[in-house]
Amino acid sequence: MSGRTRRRSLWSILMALTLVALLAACGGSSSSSGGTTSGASPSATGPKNALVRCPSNTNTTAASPETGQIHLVVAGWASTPAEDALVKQGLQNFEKLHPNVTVTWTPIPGDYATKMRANVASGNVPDVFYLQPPMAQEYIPAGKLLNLSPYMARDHVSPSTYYPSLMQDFDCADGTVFGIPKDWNSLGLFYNKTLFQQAGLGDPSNWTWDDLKNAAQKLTKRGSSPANSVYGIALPADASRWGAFLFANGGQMVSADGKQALFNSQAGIQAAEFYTSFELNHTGVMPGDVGASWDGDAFGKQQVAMTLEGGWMIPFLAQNYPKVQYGIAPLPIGPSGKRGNLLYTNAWAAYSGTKYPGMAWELIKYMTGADYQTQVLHDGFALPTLTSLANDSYFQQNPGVKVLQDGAAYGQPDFYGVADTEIHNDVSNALQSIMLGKQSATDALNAAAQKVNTWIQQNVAP
Amino acid sequence: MQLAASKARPGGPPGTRRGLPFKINRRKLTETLTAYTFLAPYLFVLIVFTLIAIVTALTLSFFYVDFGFTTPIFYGFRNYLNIWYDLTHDGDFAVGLRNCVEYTIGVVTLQTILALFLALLLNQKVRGRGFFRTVFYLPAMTSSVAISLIFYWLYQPQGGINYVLSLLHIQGPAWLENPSTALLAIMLLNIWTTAPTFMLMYLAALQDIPSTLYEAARVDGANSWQMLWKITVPLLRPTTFAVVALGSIGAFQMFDQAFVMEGASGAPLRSTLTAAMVIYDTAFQKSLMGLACAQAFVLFIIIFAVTLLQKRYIDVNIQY
Repeated sequence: MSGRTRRRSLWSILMALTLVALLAACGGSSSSSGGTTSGASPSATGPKNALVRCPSNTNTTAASPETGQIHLVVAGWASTPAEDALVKQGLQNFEKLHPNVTVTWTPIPGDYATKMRANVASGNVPDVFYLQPPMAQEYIPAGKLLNLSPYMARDHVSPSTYYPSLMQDFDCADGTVFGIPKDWNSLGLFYNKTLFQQAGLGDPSNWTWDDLKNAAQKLTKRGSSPANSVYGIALPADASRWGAFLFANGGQMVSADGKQALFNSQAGIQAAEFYTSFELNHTGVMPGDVGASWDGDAFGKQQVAMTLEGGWMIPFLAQNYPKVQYGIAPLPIGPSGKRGNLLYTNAWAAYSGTKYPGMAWELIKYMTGADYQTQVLHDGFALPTLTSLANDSYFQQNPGVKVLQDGAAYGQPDFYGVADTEIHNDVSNALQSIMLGKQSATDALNAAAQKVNTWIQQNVAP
Repeated sequence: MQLAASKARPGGPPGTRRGLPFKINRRKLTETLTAYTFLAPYLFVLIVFTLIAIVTALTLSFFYVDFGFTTPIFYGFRNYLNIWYDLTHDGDFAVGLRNCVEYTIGVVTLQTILALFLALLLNQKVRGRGFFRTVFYLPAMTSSVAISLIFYWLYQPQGGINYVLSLLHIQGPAWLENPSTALLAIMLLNIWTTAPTFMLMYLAALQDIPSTLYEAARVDGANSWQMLWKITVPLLRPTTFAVVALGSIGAFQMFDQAFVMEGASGAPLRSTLTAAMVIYDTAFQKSLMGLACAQAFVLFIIIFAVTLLQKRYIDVNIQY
């Protein structure tokens, strides 16, 4: 429902490789454990990703586009019909550019990562497919993905043309690129302009945490039951929202190698206290309490005046609640004077065993190139990953989308390495426990950190 | 031994042909072969999908496996030790099992009583009996996912159930958001859907009780309450065992209702997390196949033990 297509799933533990990963993390740039980029120009490496070990064996050269009749199988998850149509159209345009290629688009319904895992186990893998960050940390070290760095070097596609915070999840420790972000989203403060006017509130673009707190108080009008009340803000008990507050307060979710929980720091506890205070002092509400299925729905029903969501809200509101007058502001500035944000992204990647690596690359190049990325932006589903599009005219007409796009500058990926699923679950449970008044922020976060660390000890590194 | 075996067979004199100790009964052989031929398709499925799967799972539970990516690593009892740690430190599997026990006790008790009650009702000679039998059985025929989705809406804070309560001037809780009502809500839904199946089993068993017993009791001056407790309930014991055992097995493995209504993490606050959901999460979200297999075996052993206990204490055949 959230529209962030990453499913918290599938992320497996790179057993046997802890040592190597540690070495790679410590060795930094001098590490050549992968030995993969030696043949490629150094300009074709992206941000180094300490969370993912480089494969011991991968292609070091770029194949030229194959000739003759070629059939490419392309897979992704099933999305909304409109988004599906956009992908299909992009693939058709690619076919027109390469008349000898037929592309079959096979969207996978249901649990994408699990089904792809079964495909990998049986060796029946699509040539080109969507890659989620948790998948990347399994697929890359196992050598299941085509090394794109040699191709990028040959065709002068510099990794720096994409936002580094988006590239990061699909690189390995030495910066070799295995996937290129296909589109992305970040969070913004969605606010109801009508309710703001009634409460005499102005533009929230430069708000601090305190401003948010005061505004939520002013906006709240409680009736006899939650159903006939209006609340300041809807914040779900979800690590995928709270993380933005943690980062704004200078905290971290995990250590650089992903093997130690750090969210129970003083900054984390303070961020959790702030985040849950709305629910506890009844200026905020969980969506279910006002009969909404998620906070975007509560916002559309005008039972909350603000919420924290991403670009997926725009088509959702246009379709379901077209009358709501709303604006999108950057997330409020934390006590440390910083803003924080979370970035959600997925990539295009190719199977290392594909029969047509040259053509698979051509397809990835097209789908992440300026032509198609401009279409992604103009159709309003998600943001383009190319930095060169940051000044597209679309942003002038849609200042709210520009706010989301600016999130790339100060946001961090909502992905935390080996213990990603465990962290998301345990932190979300901790937040809920605080919101329900069962535990203090300190106790809840300490317990969650303990649980995450034990989990890492038991299940990572045999 | 062979001698004993041949002596035990009354049919053939020993060693008639090719020095075999007994004669092969051709008809019997043909019969056996025919039987196995008919059984073959099922046996094939059973062996491939059940036996091999069980043996593989048991083997995998001693390995670290992330299928498809790295070769399995032998782990000894580490997976089981990790489960033990989980159980003693309030881990997810511990919470899942605890919820299952709570859920099973609640569901099995209520659904057994309800099933018996409905069966007794429908065993009377009332008008429109066929109609009621159909209506009562309807929930059992509907897909559990569809029913879960319907109940998801009924249980919303402003959903159907709270609306009815509000007519009685009761403010209903946020059923699915409140950790103290979420599991209860799923229990009620499950009782409603599974009780009819067990009602059918009771109905069939009720027809089997000879009416002569009731006639004799009536002659002795027993009232209907006495007849229920002294004749019906005791004679239904084998059926009760089946109902309780099948109900417990189903309840212990509960997955779909909670998964549909509360999501994979067993929200709110793990209050609807079940053992099966933890196994799913371990296997497919966290891709720790070995640990998931070990968890599945622990669950199997618990269900097996519970069923044995139930057999010991409930399944007593009573003859009059």
